[in-house]
Amino acid sequence: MEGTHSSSMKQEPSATRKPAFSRQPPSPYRAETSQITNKAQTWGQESGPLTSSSGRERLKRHIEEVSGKVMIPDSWGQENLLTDWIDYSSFDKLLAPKGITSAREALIAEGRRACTSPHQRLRVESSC
Amino acid sequence: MGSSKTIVWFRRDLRIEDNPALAAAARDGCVFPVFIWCPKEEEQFYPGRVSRWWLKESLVHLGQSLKSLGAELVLIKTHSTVAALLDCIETTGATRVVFNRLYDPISLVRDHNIKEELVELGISVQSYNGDLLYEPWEIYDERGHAFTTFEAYWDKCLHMQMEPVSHLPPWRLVPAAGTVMKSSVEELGLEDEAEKSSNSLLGRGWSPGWSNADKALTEFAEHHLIDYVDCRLKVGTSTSLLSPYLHFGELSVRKVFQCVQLKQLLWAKEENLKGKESVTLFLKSIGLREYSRYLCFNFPFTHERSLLSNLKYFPWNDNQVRFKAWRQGRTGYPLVDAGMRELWATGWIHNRIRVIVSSFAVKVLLLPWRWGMKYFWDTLLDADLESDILGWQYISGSLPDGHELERLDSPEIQGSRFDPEGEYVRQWLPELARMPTEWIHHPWDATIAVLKAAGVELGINYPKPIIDLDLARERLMEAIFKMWELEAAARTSNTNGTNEVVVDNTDDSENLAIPKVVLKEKVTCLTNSSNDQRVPTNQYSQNNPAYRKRSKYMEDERPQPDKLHNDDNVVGTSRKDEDLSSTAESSSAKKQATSRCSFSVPQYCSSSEAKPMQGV
Repeated sequence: MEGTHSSSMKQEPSATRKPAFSRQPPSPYRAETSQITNKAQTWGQESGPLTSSSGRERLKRHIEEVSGKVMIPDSWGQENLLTDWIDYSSFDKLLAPKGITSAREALIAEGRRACTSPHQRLRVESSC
Repeated sequence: MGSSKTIVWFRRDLRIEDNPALAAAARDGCVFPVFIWCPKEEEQFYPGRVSRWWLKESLVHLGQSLKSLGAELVLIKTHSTVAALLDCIETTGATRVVFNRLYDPISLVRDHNIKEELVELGISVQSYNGDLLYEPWEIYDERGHAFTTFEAYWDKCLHMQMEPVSHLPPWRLVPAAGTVMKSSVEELGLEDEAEKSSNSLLGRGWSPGWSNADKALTEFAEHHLIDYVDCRLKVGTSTSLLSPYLHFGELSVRKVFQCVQLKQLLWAKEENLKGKESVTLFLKSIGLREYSRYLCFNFPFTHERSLLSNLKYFPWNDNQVRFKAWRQGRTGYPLVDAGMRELWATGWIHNRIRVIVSSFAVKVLLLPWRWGMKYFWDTLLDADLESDILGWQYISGSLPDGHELERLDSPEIQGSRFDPEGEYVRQWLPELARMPTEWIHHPWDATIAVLKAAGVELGINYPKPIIDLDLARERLMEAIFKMWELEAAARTSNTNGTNEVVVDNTDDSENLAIPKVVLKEKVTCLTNSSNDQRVPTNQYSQNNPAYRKRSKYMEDERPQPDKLHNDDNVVGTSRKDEDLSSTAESSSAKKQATSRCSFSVPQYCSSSEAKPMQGV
């Protein structure tokens, strides 16, 4: 298996870190926003991988490093379960757990009730 | 701010922005954020290695953010989620539990049971939509029925009104005091020692966590969205790379939608055709993610009419040697092998490749689809139950707009279309690095001299094809005939037992591929969607199984614009619209022979494309 280095998330340089909230939408709570932005910067520093290179570049670089030497292990951890996964019915059964109909109906009812609540933040309305 | 104490139960909503449950709790008083890890309740869908790695990293990230806001994220490992919640309630004196909704069948039932139990004990429980643009019961046709085709569904969605939402996180969290048996992130056991070396590879390429998701969205929208239409055409390119973030709820889909809509407005004003096409395609992939939830929720699995029922009688070839060759990227078909190696090394593959490798496993190797699904489940960073189900339906013939079961694509031809220069194959298969482009996707046809010059020794340093495609086609057709026999026998047996009449090809609702699902009893006014009427009434036929044979799949293999993936292949708007329209119509007309249960879905939501929707 290639790549035994630990995650480089905490090893990335921090000098060029950008605020996580770089695109705050206009808000009446502007004062709060700026403070939040400061906090967000703090979180970024705490949590790591805000680097000078983008996530996309990072993935690209990673691919370039590993693509020519991928060694897929001879055994897969779940290989011994393969024979248990031929039977179709157990899977189907699992996806139709007991009580799914009532759970579904209850959620629809709750969702519709919430839609009429003034506290629901997102109101989706039909076009009619 | 009120004075109540609320447990905020985090699940796949690992963010602080646009998190309705967190916002509601913060508004009303003290909060007690908790993430509960209960492997027992995950059952067979216990997350795979890479998913668990992502989850672990994301929890660390979220925990730091919540701490900065004032409340610590409590991690609990347990054998019973409800017991853990009750423990939190008892220790904090909380009177309310809030969470954002999940729609997969397993979560749906679990959440319902938990809610009932808590409510019985006098606890207030409220759930919110933090995962979707539109919840499954909000979208229906003019008769109040659930949609059964993606195009009609998405068209309706796009005509819905959506109030802008503020994505700002809570300014401050007031913690609710309480002492519970909490765990460290390591103690959750999301990653065992044996997995750490493999996972470290992932850590070099990916950055989980909500603020990294935010960065990824910004970067995509500002720099790569414009090229989305091109990225879909070529393997080896990155699409949005947002799917894992969306799966774990590190990114709000509403935020993504609104961000992209702004670009849409801008590019429309500038008459930027490519930009407009890219936005339309990208939003469709978001729509497919929504649709996977919509289908699973509105047409839940039943024993009588499974979403994948046509696979029930398929005579799989449980050949572990073949499975291993597929898994290790040693099938001798370069495009398939390159895809499987990329999957292992990065935890992510392009939508196209997902379709190609999963179709190869099922159609060429006849491997049990669950093997493929389980392997994807274990290796994809964006593994997602609803998307997976949609994807396997797509390639297995369960969807009129998807592949027919008898369709078998040639990796060689797929390679010439989606990796014309062979760059992707060369990148992941160094043993073929010097192979001329002409032969890169079918080295077995090259002369000895060409192979020698390229340093390729088939059967030595690169495998010979695991099976000849013509033979694979024969085997596939044999398997399909066998499946029909078994299905017919089972139906006859069932009919005899119940004394019912089997009616084929009628408009009888009993015999409809998809039962009607009424979401609204009476609709008083019509929508303005012209596509709402595309609900199939008669899309399947099981009375004539033997019709399409070789000629059909031979036709499918011609290197022509892929009608099933037309959205991926748009060259111009008019061309795309034409394709989409013709595909929808033809799929309705052609009648599924292989499935009694034919969901009408999108042109590109495979398991493959299913993740893709995520894989946006």
